[in-house]
Amino acid sequence: MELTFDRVTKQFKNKIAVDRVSLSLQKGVYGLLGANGAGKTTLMRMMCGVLKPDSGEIRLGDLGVEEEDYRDKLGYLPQQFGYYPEFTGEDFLMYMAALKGISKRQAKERTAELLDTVNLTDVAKKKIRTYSGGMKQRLGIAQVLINHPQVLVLDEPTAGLDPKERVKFRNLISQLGSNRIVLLSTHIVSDIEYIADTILVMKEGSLIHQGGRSEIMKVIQGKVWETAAEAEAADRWMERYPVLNIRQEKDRIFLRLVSEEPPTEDSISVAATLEDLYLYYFSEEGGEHERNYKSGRIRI
Amino acid sequence: MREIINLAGYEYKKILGRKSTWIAFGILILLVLLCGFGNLMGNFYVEGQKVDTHYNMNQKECNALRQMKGQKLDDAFFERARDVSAEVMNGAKDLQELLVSKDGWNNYCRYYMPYGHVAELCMLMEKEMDKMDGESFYKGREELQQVNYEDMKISKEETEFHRQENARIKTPFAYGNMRGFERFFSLQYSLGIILVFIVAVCLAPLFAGEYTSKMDQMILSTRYGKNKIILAKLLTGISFALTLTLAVLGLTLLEINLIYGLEGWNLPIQTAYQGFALSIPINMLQMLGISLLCALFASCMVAALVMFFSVKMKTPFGVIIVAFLVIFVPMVLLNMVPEDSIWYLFVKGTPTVMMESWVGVSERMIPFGRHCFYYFQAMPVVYACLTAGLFAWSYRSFRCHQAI
Repeated sequence: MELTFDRVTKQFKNKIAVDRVSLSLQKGVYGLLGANGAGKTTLMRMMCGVLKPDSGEIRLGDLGVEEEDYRDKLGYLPQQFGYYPEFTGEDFLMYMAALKGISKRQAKERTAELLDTVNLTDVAKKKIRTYSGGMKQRLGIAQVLINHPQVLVLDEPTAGLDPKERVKFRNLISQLGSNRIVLLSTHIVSDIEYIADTILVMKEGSLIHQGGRSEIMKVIQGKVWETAAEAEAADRWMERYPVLNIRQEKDRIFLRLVSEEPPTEDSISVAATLEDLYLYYFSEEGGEHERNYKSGRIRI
Repeated sequence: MREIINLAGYEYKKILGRKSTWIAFGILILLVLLCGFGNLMGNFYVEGQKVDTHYNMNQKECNALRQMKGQKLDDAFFERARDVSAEVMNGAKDLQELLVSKDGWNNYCRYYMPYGHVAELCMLMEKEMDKMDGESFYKGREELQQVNYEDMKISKEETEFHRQENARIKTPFAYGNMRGFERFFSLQYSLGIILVFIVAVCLAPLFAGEYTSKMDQMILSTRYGKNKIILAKLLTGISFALTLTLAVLGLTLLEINLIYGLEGWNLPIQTAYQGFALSIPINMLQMLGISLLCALFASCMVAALVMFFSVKMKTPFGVIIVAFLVIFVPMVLLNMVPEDSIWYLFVKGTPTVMMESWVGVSERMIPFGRHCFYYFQAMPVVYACLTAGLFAWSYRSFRCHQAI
């Protein structure tokens, strides 16, 4: 089972949302990283057949995205998903099951099972309008899984969940990735850091990087420093280096920044995280560095 | 098919789950009750003096007409009418003076009321019943028809067609209680317009609601999201419109039967005030069938249009605005467009106007090649074709909808 993107392009008026993306996905969890407007959601929508590419093709083996058999293997949780306020949680899942071609008997069993998985059994008979944001999100996750999809497309699935629920669903997604393709987009970088086998980085419609965590982190490894300085010196560093974090403590400012060499003698080298990489790529300054990196002349 | 019906069930759940639907149903039921029973409220006054209640008057009139069951509008009928009129009016200067006296009103109801309806028909011909006999009555009717044909500027072929049709009507007309049917046919127009507007309000979110609630992405990405769910929605729209139309008109018919009675089903429609000059040889029951057929097709046509707009527009509110225009503008246009223009034929064929029972069988027909067709014959075919076309277009549009 292989999902392939072949020079997929989508343009909205003058803006190229997705620019000739070619990609091949196999079983596993893929984390899609990118700033707002990078083209992640557009790419996912095209993958789910709700948006048609201007050019290029997306296929799952022999199946095109427009085919019913492809949609039968698909589970999609959009970033902003709708619901029917007058439906109960159970009704909603039964409706989604009917849309996914599951028989009533199977749908009933699967609904009960999934409501239990997402901790909504107690409120299954309550109208969705009474649900909190987190509960609605959990219901959204449940509907994705109802047809045992082979391809899971999750756009910000853990947004609105409390940390405990988030970790639970992160683990669930990780398990699901063992025997299917899971494409996960989120701004919560740690979620991707923990569960993604492959990280895809998108910027301005293009896929600028893809690889495992260790591979992708090579770009920034050994270049993240923490240092403290007076306000005046801190301002100078902020102009000179891509700053990942700023923390004010009494009269000193603690900075976490990216540099080829220690910015000061007392700077401490720290282990880089994926969030550092994300900030490095997607801060304005980082964009410049990323371009330098791409052209092979990184100078920090 | 089972999947489509199952999905249609959920579409009904969405429609019936909305408060607005139940408010609309409430308004509709209230209107049905008011249209029937509202007519019985209050009193009947002559020259500012209360003569009777409307309820009593209505009962007396229906009973009077019931007494006439089996009688024919022939020479003997008009002779009896003359005698009764002379007897009832005996001593009174005019009708007003007669009606305001208690005995006069009772005598009027008992003796003259059974003939009152025919007196109204004679007034249509600008003639007095007292001076009529069987022959002059039917001759007067033919003259009235001729005047109507000339006023409507209908073609020679149509006039000839109506003459031939007219010759098939059995004379003398049978007489009896036709009030129930008359009342139903006159109510169907106003009720029908409100009904189709409510159909439009309920169906507006069928597709557009998915866009505003952002369910469109999820639906379109499912197995049946680009085929069976669209068919289910279209099935829901049409079945909803049909069911609601049948329910409302059925309820009205039941109410009318309770108030006026529907026993005059086999009377010719020419005994009704609005059907008097028509040439189509049918009875009240056949007319009821035609009237219901036109209402059902008109309602389906509105549903198909609303669903089409619902697919094409972004919000249900926009759909309701467009539906409002589609439903109410023809009512205004009908009085503005010259009767002899092609536009008049077009406006008359709009679903709103087709809700008017008598339009289906009116003298103004639809020419097609060498033949002319009544509206009730042509419009269902036209509506069926348009509905099929709109369904195909709506299906394709939702299937190709881009969730941006």
